[in-house]
Amino acid sequence: MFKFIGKRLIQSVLVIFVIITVTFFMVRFAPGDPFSAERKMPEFIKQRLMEHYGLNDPVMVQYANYLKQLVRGDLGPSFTETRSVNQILANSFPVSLELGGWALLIALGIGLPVGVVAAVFRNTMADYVPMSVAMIGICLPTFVLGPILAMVFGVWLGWFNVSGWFVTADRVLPAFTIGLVYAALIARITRGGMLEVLNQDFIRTALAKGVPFGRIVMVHTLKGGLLPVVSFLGPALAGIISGSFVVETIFQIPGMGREFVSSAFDRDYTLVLGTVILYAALITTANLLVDVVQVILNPRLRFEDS
Amino acid sequence: MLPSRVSPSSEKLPDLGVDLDAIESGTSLWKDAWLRLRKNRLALMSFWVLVFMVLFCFLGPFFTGQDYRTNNLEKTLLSPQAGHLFGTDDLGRDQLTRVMVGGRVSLGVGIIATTVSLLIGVAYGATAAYVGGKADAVMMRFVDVLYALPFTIFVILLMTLFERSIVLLFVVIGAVEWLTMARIVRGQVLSIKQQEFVEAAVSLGYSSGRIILRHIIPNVLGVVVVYATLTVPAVMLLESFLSFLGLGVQPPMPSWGSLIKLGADNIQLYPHLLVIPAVFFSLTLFSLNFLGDGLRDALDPRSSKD
Amino acid sequence: MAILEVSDLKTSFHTRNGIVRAVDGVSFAVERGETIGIVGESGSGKSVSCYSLMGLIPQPPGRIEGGTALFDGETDLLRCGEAALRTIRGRRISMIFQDPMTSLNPYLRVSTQIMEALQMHSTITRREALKRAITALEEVGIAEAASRVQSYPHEFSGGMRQRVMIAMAMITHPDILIADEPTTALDVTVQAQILELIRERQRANNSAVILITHDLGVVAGMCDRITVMYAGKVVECGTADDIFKRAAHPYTIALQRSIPSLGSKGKPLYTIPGLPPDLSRPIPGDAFALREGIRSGGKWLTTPPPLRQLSDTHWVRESDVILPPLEEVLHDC
Repeated sequence: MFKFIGKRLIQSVLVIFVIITVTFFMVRFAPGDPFSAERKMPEFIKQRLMEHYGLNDPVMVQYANYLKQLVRGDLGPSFTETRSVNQILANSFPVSLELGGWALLIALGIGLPVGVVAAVFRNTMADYVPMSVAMIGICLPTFVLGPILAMVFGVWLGWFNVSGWFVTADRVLPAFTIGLVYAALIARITRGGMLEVLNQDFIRTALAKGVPFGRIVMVHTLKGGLLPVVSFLGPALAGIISGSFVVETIFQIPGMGREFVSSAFDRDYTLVLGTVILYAALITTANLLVDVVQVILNPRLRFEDS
Repeated sequence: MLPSRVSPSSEKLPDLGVDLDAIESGTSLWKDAWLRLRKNRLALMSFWVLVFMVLFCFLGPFFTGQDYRTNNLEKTLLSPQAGHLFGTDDLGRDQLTRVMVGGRVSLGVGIIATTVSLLIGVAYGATAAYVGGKADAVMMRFVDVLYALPFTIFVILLMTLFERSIVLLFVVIGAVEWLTMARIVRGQVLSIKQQEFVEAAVSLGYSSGRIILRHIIPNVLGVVVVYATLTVPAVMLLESFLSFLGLGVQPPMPSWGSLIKLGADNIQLYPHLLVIPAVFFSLTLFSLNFLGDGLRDALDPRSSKD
Repeated sequence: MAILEVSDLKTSFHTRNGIVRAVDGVSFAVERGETIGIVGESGSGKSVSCYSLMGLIPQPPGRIEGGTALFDGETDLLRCGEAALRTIRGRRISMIFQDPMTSLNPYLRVSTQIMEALQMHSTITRREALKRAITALEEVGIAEAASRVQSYPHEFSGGMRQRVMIAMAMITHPDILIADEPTTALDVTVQAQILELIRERQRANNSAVILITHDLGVVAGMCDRITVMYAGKVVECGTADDIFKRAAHPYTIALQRSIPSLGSKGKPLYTIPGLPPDLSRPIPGDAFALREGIRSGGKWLTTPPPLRQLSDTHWVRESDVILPPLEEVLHDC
């Protein structure tokens, strides 16, 4: 078990390193520079700035310097803002984390029960109705759902603010915008996984032992039935992150997604790299956790590994 | 099964009341699939919705008598009315025409990028499966590594850093979507390779060319068609996502994503700008998903339950 | 008095392609402590009969159309309702299944699964249940039961898993054990051991056993009485001697011919021509007479053949199917 986690940990670090490298060179080789994006500035000032930030050095030297800096936990200065990248991310990351956390909670809180009920009462109204709604949910991307929710609950009903991130109620619309789509997906995956297990021979064995149906669902089915949901959580997290790009734009939330998109537009090299590194770390950590949970849930995997 | 006994008498086979040629060429599979698909009301409806969408978007602009690029600053942000059935946008352009042209872009990107990913994915997956052994392991490991990368982030980076063009959009989206296709095709080819009828064909001494042509391709084709139908909405989603963020097709060229973005910015006063493109976009995504599901059920009757 | 008396059981499945009459008027009885065999090809309705008794038929599409199944002289299993049935399932009637690989839950420890059988039917401490589970594993011949009880099913071989299934089924000392093809998925060498184990546990608990199989060879040494089924109906029933020495129905005879024997080395093996019928279409007469490659006098093609009593213990359904003489059959192959 520990050997397995160790192995995956090394893999994760390697993946993050690859991502850093690819991003670094992609950003450097892209046309343009941080100081030519929008503002016009005299050439000699620009040269000064380039000199100051070490942007005139050979790329490999810059790369080595950046890695050295990174090992110390320093993401460098932002080229477009007066704050450092560390400071910018320290402000915006918690916002995105909170948004993503709520979204995931909504997705699981709605998706899991709906999927389980649909599987248990398959081919009844308790299956058809929520699954049809889920199909609609899947086809409604965040950038459609978000404005619609804002229009209905913000503009027409006036229950929530259409933009901003100040009071607790401001969390509701953005979190549901991202969460509902994943609730729909998780409901479908849960239903499929549960049905797969419910159709197995060992469910019949449990019935023949006189186990009540409730216990069959909770004890005999849930563990295996939720495995596909667990493996979906990795991609779901990546999806929630890209959802946050859109939702933070729509609802004007000062999160990391907005920083990322605008920094890429502005060619703010260090800020781009900083956000990408943080995202990559987040995703690989999540994938690692998913793998571990899977091994815990599925004894057959545990056996193969040891 | 003894071929020496079967072949000489095959000319004298009694009339079995079935179309032997159809069975031989494998068309009965498709005929059956079509019959099953026709029974699936939802899938059939989706099919006609898609036919309508394609005709509407590709032929429609010839009949509106309007141009999607011509600004008319005297007639901005009109409500739906005679002459402008869907109203006008912020620059006074006819929204009906723009929805049609935006549909051309969205559908076109969907189809072309899917084709690109299809060609790469099928070639890659089939090669890996057919060659097998070490080469297969290395090729699939490469796919695994790519899978671990947070692709949306790279896509956004590429689209912001480099000169945005529709060609880059195709390349970027195709590069993301081929991975799954490669995996699916490889899995399918592998499982077919091991099936008895292929072993039977090998033992009968058929050449590998004939086996690929006669047995493997027809059996992989079903999966490919189904998955391609489901890739188109995924691609359209990605394109609209990028266009929504301003990273996709560039103005004045519209796409459904950028039209939705305009609507989202004006929901307070002009909800029709959001609702109309959102309905077209979502309806198309629905139809593609339902058609894909229906095709899967029709082509693989075993998977149709649950 | 019989511990279980099934009469005129009818079970059907309502599918898109029509109503499949899987079990069509089956009757049999089991005495305490005795072993009966129910024999037939796949699709003959032998498993569905027993699943119907246990309430294991998924409804819909399944439906029990009629009959009674009197358990212990008082409870009609077909009408007593799910709650009452659950107190009988696993406690007084246990089951083991064909494939021990898929019949145990791979996600749960063996201990959990064995103890569950006890915990469902009595208030028992975990400790006590665990102790009983270990004893039960020892009784079915699993070495180091105390440590292996905490393993997962995949850590056992196929034969060992079937032993676990037997331990689980017998731990409540049931009145009846229903064994559905218990050896079909196992290696030949293991088959005899498992059958012997079932017999041994049966004697220890004084349980009755209903052995469902397609293999006449399996029931030969095990069963006191045998019921042969074809196309959802009983075609012959009687004591082991009645069936093996005085078989009267042509289907029973055909089944016997298809048992491979050691003496027949080098000779081709007899197989019954054709396939069992499609039960989604009503069969008015003798289903076996309608089988492809089977010749009959034609008397029972449209009228249902009745059962005829041959002796106190031996009943056979009328049939005018003519099986070719054995030599001719073997010559043909």
